[in-house]
Amino acid sequence: MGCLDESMSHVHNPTRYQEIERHQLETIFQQSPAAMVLWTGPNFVFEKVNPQYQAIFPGRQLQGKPFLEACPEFKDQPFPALLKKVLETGEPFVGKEVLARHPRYEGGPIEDVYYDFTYMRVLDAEGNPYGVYDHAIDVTDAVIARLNLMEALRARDELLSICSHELRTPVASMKLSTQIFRRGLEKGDPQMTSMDRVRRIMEQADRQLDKLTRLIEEMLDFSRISGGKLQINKERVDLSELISEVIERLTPQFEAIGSSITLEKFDRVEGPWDRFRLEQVMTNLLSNSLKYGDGKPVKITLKQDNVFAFISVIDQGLGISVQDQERIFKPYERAVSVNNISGLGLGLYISKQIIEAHGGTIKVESTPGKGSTFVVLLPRDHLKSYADEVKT
Amino acid sequence: MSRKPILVVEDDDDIRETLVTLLEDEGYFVYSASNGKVALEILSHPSNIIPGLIALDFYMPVMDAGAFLSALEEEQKHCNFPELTIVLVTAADAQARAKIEGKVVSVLKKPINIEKFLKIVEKYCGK
Repeated sequence: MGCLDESMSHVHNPTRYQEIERHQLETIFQQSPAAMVLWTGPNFVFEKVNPQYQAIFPGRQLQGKPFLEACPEFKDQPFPALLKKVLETGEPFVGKEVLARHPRYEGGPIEDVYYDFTYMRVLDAEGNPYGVYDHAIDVTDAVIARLNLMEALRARDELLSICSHELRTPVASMKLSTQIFRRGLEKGDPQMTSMDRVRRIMEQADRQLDKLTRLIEEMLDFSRISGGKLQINKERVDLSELISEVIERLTPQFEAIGSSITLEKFDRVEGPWDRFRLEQVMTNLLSNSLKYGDGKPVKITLKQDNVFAFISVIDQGLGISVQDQERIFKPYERAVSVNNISGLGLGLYISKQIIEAHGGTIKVESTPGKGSTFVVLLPRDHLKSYADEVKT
Repeated sequence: MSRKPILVVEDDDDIRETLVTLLEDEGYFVYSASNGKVALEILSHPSNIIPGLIALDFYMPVMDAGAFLSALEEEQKHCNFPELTIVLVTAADAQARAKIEGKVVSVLKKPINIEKFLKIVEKYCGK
């Protein structure tokens, strides 16, 4: 019982009890994950500052200094007026995600920091206003994550709107043709159902179905990439042969606008790559040079060294401004405005993901008015094959 | 009563050509343009072409429907163009086209119903 008496002694000893309580409060104050501070007097002198609050201003002398002297960056921000109001009225202030602008370290740039915080008035023993207590939590990461999420949602909505427009256009074209043909049949007008008309409708439908297929493939690829499910199936590929095939396929389209396309190449440039995916990248780059190449000749060069294969697609078209050069590889971004769309604007983004999944890079060099050069660099996996050779 | 001509402004070659064929089959005289800029050039032609109706696509390269209508309003302020009747033929969603809906007599959503389209043409260009 003696032991129990001793441990319970503070219950019968008010001074000891207050000491323990004070000690507990002090521990909470010092170890709280929130930033806490007590300002006193009309100038809001920093009386008590916990380590989390000090961490907001690392290395800065706060203790004993008036608020605005220690933190002059807050002069034109709402905090001094809020402190004054809370001290005068006794009404607490609760702020959610309030923007405070201050440096993260001494001499650093002013940054946007968001806080959830509470200002509460503290009274002295006589019940007179004594100071203001602040309890603040830095919620910047959460706010920025939410802003990014909102931006992503906005971009997704825009993509959905573009998708719906782009999918409707070929459907609209085919629907129009079939309606007109049916009308011709109903009227019994031989001219409206002539073989020439039928052939034209078939050719149109074929073109529009190709367009639909490409759009659907692009949407599926985007969805695969977003879900981290882009698969690269490596096999031995000769880039020289692959590029020649893509050129052959697109040559009629280049000729139709009076342009041409040539390939300067090594005989064989081999590596362990995904044939289908690289064909897709080359088709995208060449289609872009067809669209934006201003009808002037397009040149492709293919080179290699021991480690890499280098493909350059060089057009003499309108070029891309410096600020657009980075944007064009992002999803939903295109250098031209959304009202000038043709396709989903995902081509270069998908190409970049494919090349990066091969461990390579893709970039653009361009002078507006003088054309663009897209450079693809693909690792040939030489070291690995060399190691395999040594093993065998 | 003589029929008035129609101006079709549409960037998709297939849709534009099919609309032109449809209207020509019905006996209308049709002008066509692949974007708003070409349409303005047609309207500014010295032969003073005044279409009874303009069938206007929304999204087009070079000059889209919004820019075309603004340019048209500007010209009309200077009395260079008469009042023109426009029907919007588009696959754009309601939100995108909301800004210009007040400037057109009708909106036809692609894929369009040709009977409905021809009724509008008849109303403004004659039967």
